[in-house]
Amino acid sequence: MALRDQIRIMVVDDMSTSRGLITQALDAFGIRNVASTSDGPTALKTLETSPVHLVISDYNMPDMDGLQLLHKLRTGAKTKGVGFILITGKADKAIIEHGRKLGMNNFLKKPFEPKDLQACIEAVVGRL
Amino acid sequence: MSDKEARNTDHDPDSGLDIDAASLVAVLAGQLSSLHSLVVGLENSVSQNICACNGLSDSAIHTMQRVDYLRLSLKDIAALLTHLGPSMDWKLDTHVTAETLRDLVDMQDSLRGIVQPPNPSKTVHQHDIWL
Repeated sequence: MALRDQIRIMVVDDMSTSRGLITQALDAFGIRNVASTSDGPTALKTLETSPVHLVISDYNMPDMDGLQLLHKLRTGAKTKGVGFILITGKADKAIIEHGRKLGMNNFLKKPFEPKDLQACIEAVVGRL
Repeated sequence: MSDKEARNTDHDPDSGLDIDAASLVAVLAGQLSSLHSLVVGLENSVSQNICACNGLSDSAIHTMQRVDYLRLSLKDIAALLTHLGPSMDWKLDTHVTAETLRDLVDMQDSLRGIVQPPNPSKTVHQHDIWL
């Protein structure tokens, strides 16, 4: 069974369009086990009971940004090992450095092509 | 009375002269806020249809991500202009006239409040010539 059939992914983005576009791209790769949510606190709550292999999160979100979510994930007993990809509108060096220190596995700058997303995911979890 | 206060007091939408900076910036901020609201509505409509339709092209997925950037940019610029507007003024010895604004802007309704619409008789006159 291919990795794409087994992997579970959560998409976190406050904009429904962005969530939909990422979910569409994942679907095109053959990844069907995708959950999505609009904010970090809800993601954390959901991940406690429904763990995933990989979180793909937007950076710019109200209340809890992508790196704050990453920090919470890395300090949670059940979520500290989850893969994490940050999606950001501007690949600001300070943001990326901070993300690396927190344990970010990869990042992707918007707007991206689906093939870039696939490459980004495969760099974290292996060939889909 | 300062130069700025004097100019603001002198401002008259009917005069066709000297538009004060704060009024113009306030109009621009309002226009940007309206555009931001339109983009939010557009984004919500698009997102509902993304879930319903199958197989967006790679280029569509790429291009549609820019809606988010557009929304955030409009929101930020509107907030900046709203904040800065009241303290803005033109450089000394310069002025912007209603006539200049009319020449620059296609959607003149957006300037309502600081610039009067073009003289209707002029439009009728031009129409008469074509007839």
